[in-house]
Amino acid sequence: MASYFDDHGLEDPYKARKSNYNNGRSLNPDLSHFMPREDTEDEGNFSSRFPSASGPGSNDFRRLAEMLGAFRVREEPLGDEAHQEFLDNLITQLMDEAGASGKHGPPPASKSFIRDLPFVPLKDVKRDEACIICNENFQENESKAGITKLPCKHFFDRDCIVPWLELHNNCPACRAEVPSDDPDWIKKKRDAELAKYAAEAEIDKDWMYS
Amino acid sequence: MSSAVHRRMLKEYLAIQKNSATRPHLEVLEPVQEDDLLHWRAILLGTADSAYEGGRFKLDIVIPTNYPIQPPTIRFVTTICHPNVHFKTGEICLDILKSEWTPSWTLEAICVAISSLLTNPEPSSPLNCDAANLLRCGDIAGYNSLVRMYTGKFAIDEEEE
Repeated sequence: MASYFDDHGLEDPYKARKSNYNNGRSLNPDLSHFMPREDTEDEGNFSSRFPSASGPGSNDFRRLAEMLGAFRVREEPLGDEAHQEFLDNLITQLMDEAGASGKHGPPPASKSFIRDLPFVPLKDVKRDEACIICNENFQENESKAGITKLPCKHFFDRDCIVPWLELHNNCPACRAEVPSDDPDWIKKKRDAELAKYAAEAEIDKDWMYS
Repeated sequence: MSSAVHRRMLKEYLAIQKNSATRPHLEVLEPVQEDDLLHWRAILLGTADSAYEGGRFKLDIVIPTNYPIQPPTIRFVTTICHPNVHFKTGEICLDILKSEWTPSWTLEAICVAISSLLTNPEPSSPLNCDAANLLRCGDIAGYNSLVRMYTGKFAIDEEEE
């Protein structure tokens, strides 16, 4: 929408300042210059703790957040309150960014669910069926780690579905939910179940006394 | 991972070429350069009888290396007045590009979805509050004339670079 400055034929001072930084294009800074590459890092616990499928950059954000966290600890005796708050906000924001790729949409599927995905023999899959993630026909594409099936009976290449389930607990074809370890998801699920029982109890009561 | 994304994009590319006759509102959907299937451009045509009629709206599409686990990043290059599109950046607010993304979507299907978003705006989650407010208070005539004005200004041929 036209801003005040457009309407009055003036140069927008905010825009002018901003375009100096990023030409109005990408807001994501390139963080790779600030930290060692993944392969040179001796304590590789980051990459193992978070699935690689969560997207490029997320580990970088996380590492920067950790780095600033170290700053905070060191600065504690000196830093005043405003400084402290600024660092806290910055860290929170960076952690949010790190999780952003997986944050949109449903939580990850539970680890045990992914571990226990069934192996489906090739002969159980129809001749013309393809994995909707890679679009490759199951029969023509035997080199992969095998085929699996979600409870909703949709088939996928194991290699394709695992990275998805590590981010989201639903079926890519029909959105049917599978279990998650996410505490919010478990709570929501339980609340929904309790509400259902409560509603059923209400119906029973009506039936008894009406 | 990256070879998987290239294989899938190649399949989509072939399918898109084959179906080109079946999408009236999608004038162009092609890689920016033939040898890079991770960067695409599209041109949506404004639907006849809508305030976008006559407009040609360019989209910039970037495919992430872990596509289709993650959705593509799509933005309008042509300035467009729409409640769910950022007026300055072209960012699109559409659930299937964010929380409702699933790998079963294809590039072609998303472009069709964006095309239908043009005539079915969702003013309750606006990126362009001024346009959304006109709709929310029921000023359809005002909304349409605003959209038509910007379509004429930015999206009709002679004004394009």
